[in-house]
Amino acid sequence: MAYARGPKPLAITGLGCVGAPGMGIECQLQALSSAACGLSRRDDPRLPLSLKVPIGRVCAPLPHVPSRTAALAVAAAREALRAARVPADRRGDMGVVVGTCTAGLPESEHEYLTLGPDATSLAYRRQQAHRTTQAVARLGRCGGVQSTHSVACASAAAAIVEAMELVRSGSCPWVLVVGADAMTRVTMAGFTSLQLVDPDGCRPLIRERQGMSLGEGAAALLIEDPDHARRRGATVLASVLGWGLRADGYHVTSPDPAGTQLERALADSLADAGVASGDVDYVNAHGTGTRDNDDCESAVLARTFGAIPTASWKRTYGHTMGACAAIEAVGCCLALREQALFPSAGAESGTGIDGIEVVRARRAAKVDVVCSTTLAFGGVNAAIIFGKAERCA
Amino acid sequence: MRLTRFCAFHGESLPEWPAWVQGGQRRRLDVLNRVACAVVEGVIGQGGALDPDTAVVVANSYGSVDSTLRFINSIASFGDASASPTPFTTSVHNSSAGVIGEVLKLHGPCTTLSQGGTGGLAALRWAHLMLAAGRAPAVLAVIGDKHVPWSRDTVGRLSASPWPIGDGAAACLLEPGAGPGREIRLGSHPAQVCYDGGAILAEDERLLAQLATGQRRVRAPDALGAWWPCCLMTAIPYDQPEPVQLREVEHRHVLEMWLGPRAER
Repeated sequence: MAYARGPKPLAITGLGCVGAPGMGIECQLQALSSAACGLSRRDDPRLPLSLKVPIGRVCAPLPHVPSRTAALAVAAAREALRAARVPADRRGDMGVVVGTCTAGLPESEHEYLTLGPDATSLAYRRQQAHRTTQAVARLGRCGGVQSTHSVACASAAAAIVEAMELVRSGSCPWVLVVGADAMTRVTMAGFTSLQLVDPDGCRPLIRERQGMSLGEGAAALLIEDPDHARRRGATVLASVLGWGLRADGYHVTSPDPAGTQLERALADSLADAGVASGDVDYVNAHGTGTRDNDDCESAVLARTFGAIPTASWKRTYGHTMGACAAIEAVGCCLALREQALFPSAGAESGTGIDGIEVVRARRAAKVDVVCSTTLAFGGVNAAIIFGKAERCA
Repeated sequence: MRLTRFCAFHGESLPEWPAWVQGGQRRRLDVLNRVACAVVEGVIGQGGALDPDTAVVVANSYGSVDSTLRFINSIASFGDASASPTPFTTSVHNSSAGVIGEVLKLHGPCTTLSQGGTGGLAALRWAHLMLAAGRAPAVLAVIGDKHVPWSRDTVGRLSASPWPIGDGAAACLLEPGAGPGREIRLGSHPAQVCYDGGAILAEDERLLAQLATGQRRVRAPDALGAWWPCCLMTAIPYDQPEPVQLREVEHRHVLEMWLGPRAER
């Protein structure tokens, strides 16, 4: 396909995040810098398997919103809106695009499994994914476009893509993108039944890896037209340069081992960003820790970028499903701000996977362009390119 | 953007599987996947195979309720560590998009939206963004829900809908530029008739009635005899020649599009 236009970088003017390491951007910086492990076993009757396998559970206090996913989303959104310094009465045309996979499932599965199928509970009404978007928009007083993507683990990546195109097309001058997912019993039992969970906690991008770990969290990014940001005197924290989104057309749950469409998604994102593969300094890999994902992804990254410094942050947060692309977008923005490569937690020992350079300790570096990849059930492959704030000056 | 092919299905029965969904796949797919595949089969039948770079957007409100329920029941029966993985793999909202991509070998951008009462037009908006950005030669939009008896009952008990709770789906092929089909424009444009998705909240109903001033209003649930959140696209008069205004509402959030007169090849 020939693209209809040249590169059009967008400003990121607000960031917020809550995850297993805690609440707030500076807390995430500390965790990412130190390759902190956010996983632990828990005695939680709502998540019986968490006694046996470690998870990335959020312990920070959350807003009082009936659904845990919505509470996580609102917490992250509030931080991003505060950081962007947008008064509540000036958000009338601000869009909200949310990516979530589990939405209100933690509450409705609990009702169903404890009260039985005949219970009439509001939890079922809150289960719908767009309720999370409505909560963010209502409590944040954002009156613009609303959209909700539910694309399994790529939900937030799809949300970032739509937000970018809403702003680029002039439909909306700014969009608050939120990725949010709370832990659910269904997710834990599902991945356990597929025998994909590492009982000792994931070690992505390492040859000795044994599987994934699950987590929960949320992150928010305010994506803004650079002229709009300039006019209101906003501080630009980073820029988002391009995206690629491709379907494997191979299998609903297994990635295509050839990685053809992931490679095309990466090529699309680079073309959209107007950068060459050699311009990319650092990759945040999806890196779940499963054998299939990491083998396929690392091979494609090596073909596209060569032995590029790469990290996965899944041991720091757990795999936060629909939220992960937003949480990792925040990490990419921090790497650009700090001019640092964050390590891949769990890679302190063991043999790094072939073809790429697995970052094992934080180090200072010139970081102008960062690429983040996401793969998901449904054969979805996403790549987002971030750049320094100056790129949209 | 033009709507060039269209197929819709609704009702409690299940449509036939298309031939391109094989026996092994049929066993692992759920009722939502089956309805989605059936309406896509209708679209393929109107003009042949799709370009492999066609984008796919699916919009539903309740997701794969059949698979999710079967998996939760499996947890209840066998415990968290021993539940059957088969329904889990199709329990994600985007399983229909994955299945359509898998069986038709489509590789364009893909997403699944869950935007309640505005889900149908939100899917068309996403299609418009992809086509305007030159990211796909066409977009296949599949919009709808499929209940199982438990979810139909539960939604019926919890919903304020004055209509029976129903389900169904529509598949739309959307292409850029001018040509055959029906033009779709964002926003409100002159039309004698307005189709809307109906509203279950009194304030939304008042809003829709106000917006349709001077237009003959057709509520999709009246036409279909049942309501579900994005039922509008299943009821649109694709074969009629006149332009039609389309409206969906969800908690005072209105989305509008205009379906132009039909241009023949």
